[in-house]
Amino acid sequence: MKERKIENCIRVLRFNNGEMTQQELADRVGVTRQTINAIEAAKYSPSLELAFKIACEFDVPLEEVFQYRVE
Amino acid sequence: MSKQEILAWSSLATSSSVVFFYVLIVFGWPDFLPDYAGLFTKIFFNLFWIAVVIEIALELGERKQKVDKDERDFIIEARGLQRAYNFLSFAVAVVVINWFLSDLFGEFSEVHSILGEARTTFHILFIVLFVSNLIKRTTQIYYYRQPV
Repeated sequence: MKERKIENCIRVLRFNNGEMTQQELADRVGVTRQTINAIEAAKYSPSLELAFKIACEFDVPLEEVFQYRVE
Repeated sequence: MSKQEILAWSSLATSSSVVFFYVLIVFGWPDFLPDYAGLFTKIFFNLFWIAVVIEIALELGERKQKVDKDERDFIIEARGLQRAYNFLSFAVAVVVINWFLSDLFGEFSEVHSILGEARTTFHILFIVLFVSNLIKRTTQIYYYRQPV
């Protein structure tokens, strides 16, 4: 069976945006730091609204932040 | 560890302490076990107060984060509530069925006679309520460590 996984590059985007901390991003999008950490580690798939908020925060399209891969 | 996760741990501690004390008061220490009642009472008593102090400190303490609870916390809480509700429904159904059975067979079976008493049923339902809370909190703690 093919495994489907949502990957993201939030860590890279944070680094490219003035080394933004997880806490700063969490405060800006209205979640806890632990949730940002879980999203980065691909342990939690965010809601569509939160995904768009994160993308807007980095000023990039959604597909640049999240990628859906079938392995 | 997030605030909600710490609250889940402290609630688990307080609920398990309450269940322990309640079972000990109502049913007593089992005869077939060595008498460690005093030792366990001390442990659970301390556990209870430590958990209460942590919960109060969390509520009164300075807020480091702008958000205390978010969508992930709600999803994890919902999973915990679902399992707790399933257990509660099953346990209440068993108690009700047993009540009917004790009405029918109470005269012939001593066990059914004791379980059919209103006082015993109340104790069992009280314990079931706290055990369902234990299930909820344990599920939450589990999912805080697993992919959601």
